[in-house]
Amino acid sequence: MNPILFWLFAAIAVVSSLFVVTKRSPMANALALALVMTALAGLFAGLSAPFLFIIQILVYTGAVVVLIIFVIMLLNLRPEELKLQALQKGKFFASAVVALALTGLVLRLVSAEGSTPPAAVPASFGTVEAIADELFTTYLLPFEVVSFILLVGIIGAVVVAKRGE
Amino acid sequence: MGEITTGHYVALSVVLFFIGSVGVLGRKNAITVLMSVELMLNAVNLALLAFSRQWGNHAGQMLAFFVIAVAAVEAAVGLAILVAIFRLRETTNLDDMSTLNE
Amino acid sequence: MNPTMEWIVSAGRAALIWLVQLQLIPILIWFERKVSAYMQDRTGPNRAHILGIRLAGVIHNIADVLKLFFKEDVTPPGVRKFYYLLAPFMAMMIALMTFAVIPFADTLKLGSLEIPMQVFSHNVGMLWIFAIGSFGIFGIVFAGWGANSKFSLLGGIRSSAQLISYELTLSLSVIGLIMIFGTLQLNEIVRGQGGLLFGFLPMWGIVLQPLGAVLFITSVIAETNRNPFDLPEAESEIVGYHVEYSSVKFALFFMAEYVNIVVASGVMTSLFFGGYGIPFLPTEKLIEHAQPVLLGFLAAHVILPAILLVPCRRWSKRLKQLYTDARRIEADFLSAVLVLMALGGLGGIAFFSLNPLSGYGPNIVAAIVQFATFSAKLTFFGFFFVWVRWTLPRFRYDQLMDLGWKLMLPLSLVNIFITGLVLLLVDSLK
Repeated sequence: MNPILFWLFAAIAVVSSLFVVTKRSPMANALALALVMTALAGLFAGLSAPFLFIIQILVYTGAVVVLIIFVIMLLNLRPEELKLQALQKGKFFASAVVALALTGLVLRLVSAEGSTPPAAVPASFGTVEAIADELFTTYLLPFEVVSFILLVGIIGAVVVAKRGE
Repeated sequence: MGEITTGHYVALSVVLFFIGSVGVLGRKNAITVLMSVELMLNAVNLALLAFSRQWGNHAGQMLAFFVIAVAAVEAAVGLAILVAIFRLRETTNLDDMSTLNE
Repeated sequence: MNPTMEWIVSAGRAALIWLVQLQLIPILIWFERKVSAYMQDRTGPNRAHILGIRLAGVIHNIADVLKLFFKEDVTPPGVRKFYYLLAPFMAMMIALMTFAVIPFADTLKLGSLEIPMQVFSHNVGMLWIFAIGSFGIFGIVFAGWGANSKFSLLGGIRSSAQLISYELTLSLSVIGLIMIFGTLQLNEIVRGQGGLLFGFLPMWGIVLQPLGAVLFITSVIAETNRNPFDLPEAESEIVGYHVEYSSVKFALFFMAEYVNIVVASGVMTSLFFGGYGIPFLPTEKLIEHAQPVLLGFLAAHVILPAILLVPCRRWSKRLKQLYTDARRIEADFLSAVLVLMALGGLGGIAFFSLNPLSGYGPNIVAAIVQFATFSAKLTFFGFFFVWVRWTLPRFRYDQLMDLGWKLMLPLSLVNIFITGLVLLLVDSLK
């Protein structure tokens, strides 16, 4: 992938994800989350995964974030309540320090591993056809299980969110 | 700016994962916590795709695909629960959702 | 092809498509005004003129744009400023992006050089339209929520719920077609529609998938928020998500609606009405017979203006009796334009019969003819949207949801099953 594009998308993803966890208003968080998802989709495209690039935009930005925004709109939280829900400073900084330490640790592990160049892949790698071929042969059972989970999820969401009689 | 290797992608994924974990641990708004969980799942997807590309194997992309599907279900059910709780208790604050604690 | 050339060609394609989309906005608005006027037995706009040229109301658009730009740009107090300002731009930008995968001519082959005539020619094709289309909700949601007004919020919730509901049918109704042609690439789908069924019927999507086509057209009208599904701006019941907007910001929403219509017509044309293809004349044959096609094209350029010249002269006489000001010259001006067109056509015929097409000429001519065909179909379906809007009454909100979830969604699933069954049968008969 083009380094400039990589750093651009990486910067967008990191900055927006910081917004996701630090901004007070849920709507701002959701907008930042949409940006993270889109930047990640761009990175997916660079990793020769065009199908997942589209699925990422379609499912995450187009469906999950929209659903979240829809719920935020429905609940329409009052600013006073949001003020109460601001970051708990102590808890937040404690978790931030732990996270930072762990990030450093894992990053060291990652960089310690000498990088081997990625395998050569055919042009069809990650396209809709290639993914579909594997999905409906090798991964048929997980695919069916996931479709069942989706069905259960739909019914569950309707039952839980339905107004009681 | 040198060549972009798989290590760069994995490093980015690690950073995003821990930013997400801070959100899960440190925030009180249930919707934001849900979003942070999505962020963590996405970070993992990035690593999966990077490894998939490294070895030229579709398995990572498959797993990422299933993660996306399950994450969508998780968001739908989680938000439904949030709406139900909000209807009962008029709050999205996680600290107020502690009746099982008492 | 070197990278710089590639950039230039890509930018050229993007600019062309951008221009086509923006150019169609005033034409569609003109359609809207004139068609509604004739359906309600009025004359419609016919006053605005530049030096007496009115063009049957087209000039009125310029007056409209000027009005919208010079109106006071009010930002109501209490709005959530960032989202409020972001929403119109998002609506417009996303509407413009969708067109990228729609092919407006077949791949242009210049020797070893192959220029795909679509901005983004990747095999994800159709999925791109759905992905970017699902972005469209953001503009509406931010407008409704950002304005911080109860009316906008209600309008925003209603219309985003509508968009989400109809997106399902929209994507499911296309799957049958994708199964038949076995590709998501719109260019290949359009090429596939150039074939003939039973040797005489063009394999247009509407012939292969009548149910899919009806479902798609219905849900695409719902997606563009047009009557009979125009609840987002049902002016007699509620006020929509853009109630707090004025001036240019409102104009952006207004224009986004028309760009969405252009995109919807483009997708409809490409999927169900043969796209850039001319029935019985696939690209190879078109290139083979480029010379007669070009001459026919030019001949039409001569004959049509010549025929139109007769009523134009008669109109000129009437104008001169009616008016004493600048308006009396309009018919004369139009006649001059028609004469120039006819002369240009004649010149073209003379030139191309003396110097027959050679080299890459036929390929370029074929691309231009296909582009013209595509534009004509695009404009017709733009007209179709206007026609539907002024013919049908509006649905009530619960009827709209019932129609979407209880009728159209099951029907689109049935369509997929039937298509699969027929495909299996056809395969087993072979």
